[in-house]
Amino acid sequence: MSLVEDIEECGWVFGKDTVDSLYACMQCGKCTGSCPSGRITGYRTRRLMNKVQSGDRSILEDPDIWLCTTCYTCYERCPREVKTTDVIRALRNVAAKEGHMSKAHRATAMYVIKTGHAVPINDATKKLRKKLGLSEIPPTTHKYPEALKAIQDISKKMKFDKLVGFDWNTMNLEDREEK
Amino acid sequence: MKGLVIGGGVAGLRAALDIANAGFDVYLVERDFSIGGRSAQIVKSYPDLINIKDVLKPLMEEVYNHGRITLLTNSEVLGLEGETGNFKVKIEKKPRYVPEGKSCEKCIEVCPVEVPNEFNERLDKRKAIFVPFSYAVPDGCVIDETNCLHFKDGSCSRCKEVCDGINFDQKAETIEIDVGSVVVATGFDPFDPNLRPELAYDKYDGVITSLELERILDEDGPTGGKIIINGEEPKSVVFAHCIGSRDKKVGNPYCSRICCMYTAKEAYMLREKLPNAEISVCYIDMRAFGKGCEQFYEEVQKKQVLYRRGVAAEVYSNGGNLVLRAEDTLLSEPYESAADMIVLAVGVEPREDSSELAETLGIKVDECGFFVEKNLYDPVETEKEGIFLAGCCQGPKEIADSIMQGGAAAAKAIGLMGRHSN
Ligand SMILES: Cc1cc2nc3c(=O)[nH]c(=O)nc-3n(C[C@H](O)[C@H](O)[C@H](O)COP(=O)(O)OP(=O)(O)OC[C@H]3O[C@@H](n4cnc5c(N)ncnc54)[C@H](O)[C@@H]3O)c2cc1C
Ligand code: SF4
Ligand code: SF4
Ligand code: SF4
Ligand code: SF4
Repeated sequence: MSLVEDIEECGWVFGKDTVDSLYACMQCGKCTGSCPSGRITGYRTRRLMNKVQSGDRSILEDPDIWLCTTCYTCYERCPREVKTTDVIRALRNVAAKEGHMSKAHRATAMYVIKTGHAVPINDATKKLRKKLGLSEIPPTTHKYPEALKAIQDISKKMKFDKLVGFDWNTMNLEDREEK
Repeated sequence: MKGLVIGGGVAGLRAALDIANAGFDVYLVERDFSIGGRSAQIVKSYPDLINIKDVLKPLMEEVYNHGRITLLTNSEVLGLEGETGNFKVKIEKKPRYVPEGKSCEKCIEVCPVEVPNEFNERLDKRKAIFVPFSYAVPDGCVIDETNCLHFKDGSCSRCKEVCDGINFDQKAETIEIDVGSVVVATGFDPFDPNLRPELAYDKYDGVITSLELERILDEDGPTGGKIIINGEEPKSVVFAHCIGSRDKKVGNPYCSRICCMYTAKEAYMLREKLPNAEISVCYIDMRAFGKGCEQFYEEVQKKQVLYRRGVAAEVYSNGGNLVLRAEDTLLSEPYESAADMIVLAVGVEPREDSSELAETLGIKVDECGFFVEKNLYDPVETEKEGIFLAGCCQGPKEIADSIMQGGAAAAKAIGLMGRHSN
């Protein structure tokens, strides 16, 4: 399968049209010039589009594809209406499937499996909730262990745990070679 | 049989003259106080750097003095009925309140009302009584009744006190004419850069449009031809291509065709006035396809105008200094360019009211608002027989092409009227 077909399949949730919009990229550079991540990293949105267009699979292993903050600025501004951010998100699905998920994204996934939250509650948030007159613990997986169990079951059924490399014994990430 | 031309820019002027010179009487209906169109706002043309006034002024005067051309300025077409060879057209002619011809301009001195001057792209002010521009045809003062206090609340008649010629009692007239053919040549509007807010056009005085720069370059313009931004001569200037063109986000998926080359021309003229400034151009790809254009592009580059590939991404202020951010797509590196002046090469859009005029005339507009030709191989005909198109109202084009299309539309109109006359 070609890279774009892979992206279409793994990014089915966005729809084929979203992924195919990348064929319209005219390499103007509006995205790169607008990208807040590219201000402080070597990440170049336009080059990413270019590499996907030309079917260069090496980008799946490129740590740069995880540097997009999904702020959607480029998506908003692209004059050819390339659905840049969604293409990047779909592309990450392919990379993840091939075992190239970034450590930071894996860690976020680990928290989801472990606590039901990408950002679990901490003492500061508890205090703040109390100050605002809310219950200290929100009515989420934090309060309902059965809901957390449901999420963990879904993770197993969907093989999300395998995808991110979650170890049920240590309740932590398995060691993977990081780039 | 008589002809009608709507719009007195270069395309309409050429069409009216060619029809008249073939022996047919023609009405030329122009909405503005003067004929000339947008070309009158431009100083020199590419690639030959000819003074546009030297071409346009004689054309305007020839139209004005032509025995077979009835010029109706400050006028608009209200309705059209009938069919080819036999159209009945209703026209509203609004008054100018001041007789045509050279004037002493004392009235302008005494008028208390100041409003932004549209001809100078609102960079300076004019009075409610004013001369449209230095070589306007018809010549002389006119009163803009929407801003004049006499028409607002009757509180002023100062101009009349110094000039007997002024007549506030003139009324708009509706005229009905019979014509055999119609040439539509209503031209274009420039893109409004506020639709791309990241370019901060509204926010900073140093960000201007290319049409504003044309006015600033003009010796007869608001700065007398001096390049002054925020009270100073700019030391660095960046031109930004494709603003409002090749941009589906703002509904303009097309290339405006003229802005690569008019930017090159403006950069050339700016270099003459600012020999030591840094001048650069952000472009996506360079379109220099016209005769002599590629050579002119090279000449401009040799004047140390730096072309950097990659569209302008955003503009902001950094400690009071304007900064343009873009990616240099050849280096794959984003960069920030400090610039005292940023010139947005705004694209060509149809006139704001093109759909309304199309409805009045019974012709079509495309999804962008340009009038639709019959097909690309009958480029001046419309689906409605007897109605022809010329100039930028059909699609973006430069002056030479507009003139060419004006001539082509006239030839079609002449042929049609000739057939009906026999
Ligand atoms: C910044 C800039 C720089 C440019 N530089 C160059 C250059 O160097 N060389 C070059 O070749 N070209 C240049 N151009 C392009 C040039 O301006 C156009 O090619 C030319 O003006 C098109 O002529 P036109 O007759 O089609 O339309 P216009 O010039 O727009 O004239 C149309 C006329 O129709 C009138 N009108 C509109 N609606 C109506 C109506 N409903 N009823 C009656 N009258 C109406 C208008 O008032 C106007 O007088 C430049 C354009 C811009 C924006
Ligand atoms: S802004 Fe759009 S068209 Fe331009 S380089 Fe980026 S993705 Fe391609
Ligand atoms: S969505 Fe990602 S690639 Fe696009 S501008 Fe934001 S950080 Fe950059
Ligand atoms: S009457 Fe109108 S045009 Fe005349 S001076 Fe007064 S405001 Fe100006
Ligand atoms: S002529 Fe040049 S600047 Fe104008 S829209 Fe086309 S490519 Fe862009």
